[in-house]
Amino acid sequence: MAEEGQDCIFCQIANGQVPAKKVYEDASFMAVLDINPANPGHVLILPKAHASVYPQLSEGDSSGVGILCKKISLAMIQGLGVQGTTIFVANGGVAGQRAPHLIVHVIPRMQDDKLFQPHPVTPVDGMPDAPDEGKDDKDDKDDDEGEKKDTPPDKQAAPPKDVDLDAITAVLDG
Amino acid sequence: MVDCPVCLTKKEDEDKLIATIKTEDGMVVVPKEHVAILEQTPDEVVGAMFAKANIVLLQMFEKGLQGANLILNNGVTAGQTLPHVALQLVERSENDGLFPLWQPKQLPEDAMNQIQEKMTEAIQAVDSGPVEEKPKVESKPKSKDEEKKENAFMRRVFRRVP
Repeated sequence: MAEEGQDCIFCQIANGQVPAKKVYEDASFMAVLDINPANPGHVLILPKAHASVYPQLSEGDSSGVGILCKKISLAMIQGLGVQGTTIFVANGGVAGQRAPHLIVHVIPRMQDDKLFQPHPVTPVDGMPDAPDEGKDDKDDKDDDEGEKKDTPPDKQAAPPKDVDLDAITAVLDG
Repeated sequence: MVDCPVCLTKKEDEDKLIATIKTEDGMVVVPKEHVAILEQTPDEVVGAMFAKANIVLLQMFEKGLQGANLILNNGVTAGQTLPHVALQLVERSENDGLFPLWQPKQLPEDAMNQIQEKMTEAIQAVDSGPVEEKPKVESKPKSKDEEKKENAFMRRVFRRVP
């Protein structure tokens, strides 16, 4: 269930009502350091207008958050000296979302930090001369050892008439 | 680029700036022109990629999907496996074992404050853009007339003649 305004702690952070370690702010977004970072310098981008999941962003904010990710990524490389960054969004409880407010993560990456295993790009029509993407994600899982990913969900399901995006954000223990 | 697998891969839904590639577990949004890393990607293209991701994710949810991740690994250290920027949209289902959440770290307050300061400055520096060198102003040599006029002025000053 979506929470907004006074009920959403992230709305309060995004709008400056609750203190946080701000690194950037503009009319649409607030960027703060994660107090429990995956790696030092981990930034959370919070839209000021409440959104539970990414598709609830306006088109302008969708574009804007991408450009902001690029800016923050470059700042991490230049300011913190990291050599890579990961941009990550979890939409829905099954995708790892734990907050009731959309969070776009920009995470500085370090060699062998084992945060995310490279997720292979597997085009349905194949990829010519692809690099060695035959690597399985069996090894180096953080929590579960070597679980193979399941077959993607059935894509043939009939679309529901109304999509309740808020219902997707289950759990959401802020 | 002739030897880039992404550039050579069949794409769908191309427009002027971006294209999508249907994958076995979702979709990938890529710049149409070859570009290796996010920082080299023009803002216009980045914006288009992330706007497209919005549309694609909504379509995924409309088909009954319960969750999806948006992920962009930027740089080899981050696990980028393709030589071309790729914004991955990955369909998720319960207990599929993908992307286990990271173990959060605890940093001391002073370390956090230092990082905050560095990042704030670094972002401001990115916003400011590269420092442009100011053109050097070369002083041209004075002509004899100019020298005479200046000397006359100085004599008047010393004599206090209006």
